[in-house]
Amino acid sequence: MKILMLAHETPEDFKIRDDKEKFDAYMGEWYAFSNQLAEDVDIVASAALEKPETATVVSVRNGERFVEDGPYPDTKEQLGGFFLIDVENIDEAAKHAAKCPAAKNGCVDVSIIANH
Amino acid sequence: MNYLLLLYQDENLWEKKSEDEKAETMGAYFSYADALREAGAHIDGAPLEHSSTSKRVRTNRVQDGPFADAKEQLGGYFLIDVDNLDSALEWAARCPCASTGHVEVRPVWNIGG
Amino acid sequence: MNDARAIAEETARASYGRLLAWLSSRSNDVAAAEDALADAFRAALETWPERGAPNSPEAWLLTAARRKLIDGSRRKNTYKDSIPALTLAAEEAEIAMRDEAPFPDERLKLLFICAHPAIDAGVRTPLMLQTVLGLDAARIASAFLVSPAAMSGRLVRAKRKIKAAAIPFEPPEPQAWGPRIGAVLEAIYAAYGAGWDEIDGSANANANLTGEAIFLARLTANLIPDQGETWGLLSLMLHAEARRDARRKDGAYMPLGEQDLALWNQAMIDEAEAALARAWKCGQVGAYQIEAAIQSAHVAARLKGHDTTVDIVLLYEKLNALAPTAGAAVGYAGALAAAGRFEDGFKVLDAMHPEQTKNYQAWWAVRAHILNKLERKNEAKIAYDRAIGLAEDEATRRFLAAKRAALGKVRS
Repeated sequence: MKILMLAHETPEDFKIRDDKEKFDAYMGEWYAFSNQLAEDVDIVASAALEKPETATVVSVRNGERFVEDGPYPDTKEQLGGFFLIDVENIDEAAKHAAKCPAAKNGCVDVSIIANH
Repeated sequence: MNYLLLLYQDENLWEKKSEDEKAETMGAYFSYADALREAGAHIDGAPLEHSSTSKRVRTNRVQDGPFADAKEQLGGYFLIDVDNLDSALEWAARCPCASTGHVEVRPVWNIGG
Repeated sequence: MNDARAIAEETARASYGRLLAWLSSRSNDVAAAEDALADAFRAALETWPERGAPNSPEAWLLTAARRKLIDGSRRKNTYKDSIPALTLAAEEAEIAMRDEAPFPDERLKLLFICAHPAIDAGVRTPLMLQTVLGLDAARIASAFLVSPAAMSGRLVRAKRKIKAAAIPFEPPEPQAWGPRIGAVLEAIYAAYGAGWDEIDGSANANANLTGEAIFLARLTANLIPDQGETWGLLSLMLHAEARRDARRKDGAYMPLGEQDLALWNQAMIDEAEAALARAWKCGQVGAYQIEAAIQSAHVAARLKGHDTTVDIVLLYEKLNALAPTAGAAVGYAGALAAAGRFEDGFKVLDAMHPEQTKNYQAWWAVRAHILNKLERKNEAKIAYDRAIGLAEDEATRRFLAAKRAALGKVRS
């Protein structure tokens, strides 16, 4: 079954991306995790995302388009990247998710892809 | 340039739909995905099951969904490849979810250029 | 030596926005272009006094900045894609300047990107002031009453988003043209508003941005001359600015009808009138044009002795139909009162939603004035009290208190 693994990071984790001293260690953890994941399961798609403050929100009401800068409070855990994986069941996905660097300070959601 | 479109809406709206309405909604999403493919902008995309089937994982703790009382939940996503943000916003506005909920457009991080 | 410094400073003032527009639209990175341009100016200040200023200071600065930008891209090993574009751009620029062709003005791209819908509306004006005019964050912060650190943070965030989210430097699609210009004009008007507040509040000349706002409006009108609203906004701001010195006398608030005409800036009024005429020629009526026309009618009444009260009522009717706002409704009520139609004016105020009016000082002041004329002195006094309580500056408070005192003895 296909599972979407969504890595939510804390504002502190996002700040490490701008921290020259900690950046390599941070990226090292992510590379180690994704390499291991690729060995264990089939990764269908994956991407790391730019920081939450680069988000834009779009909605359409009565034919009118609304575009807004993503209003992101600095206090919440935000999506930092995802993996779409093929596994036996959601518990197996949760086991892998627990090893994700984001699970340490933030959280990783595992969601089942609907079979429409 | 790749962008992730995150589709947020009230997932209970879907549960309340009749079979015909569900088929109609699905049709709109299929057409949208086809349009993305035809434009060469489609990389990936999928709908999610109801959030009650999800799990939230922290190093030492697993919690069953749904996770919060948020009015809108992540219902699916599209990963697209377009020239720039204006084009991504254009596609986001065309997504059926933009009319029923909202679409968050996140640029993909091209690590190391 | 001082000449070279003066040329560098003069070039900075005159060409900053044009150089930045050129560099950032080719690198898609405003922050990096700013850094490169700052380095280039620094280098100019070091070398020009010794070797003399170059024949084409702009070309010199552009070449120097371009080098910094390419070096920066190489060093970071990122944005590889932008290096060929930058190299090409610089060659193109050097050729253009060798031929002494006018340096292309791409500031419109900057204006549009600053007011892009994906940029937080609150930072659009500051971003415009910084990128097009080269104002520093501290100066902008003081006009917007926030700390320099907070302003700096907002600006950095916006510029990061432009780069990371790849907001394009291309002008918007024709179908999006209208709203996008609207957003640009709104941001410019907000700069003017930030300047006006200072007249009434603490007199911090450094925080006054009205001159900058007018510069931006003039620039926009010249870059998009076929849009009536660009000229309308320019006319509106020039009209208001022309009477700035007359708005206060010995610290007291002077209503338009009592202002000393010798203190009005006639040259500015002339430019405002010319801009308005230009706007009408574009053939698309808009709110800024109507507001400018209202200003123009007020000025004509004083300068030429024309009775323009009926014209002003009609203009406000049009404004309220086109762009209904609380300000337009209160202005309409005031215009009706000026035309002697007190009952009608009262009805307009009464029809407004209490949520819009309860803390709106102008609403209470106009209401008090109308109630007074309607011989409802008790209610007028209460309304003056509310207006005084909501006034943000001393001059307005004193003006309203004098009006209240003139009501005479009121049974309480």
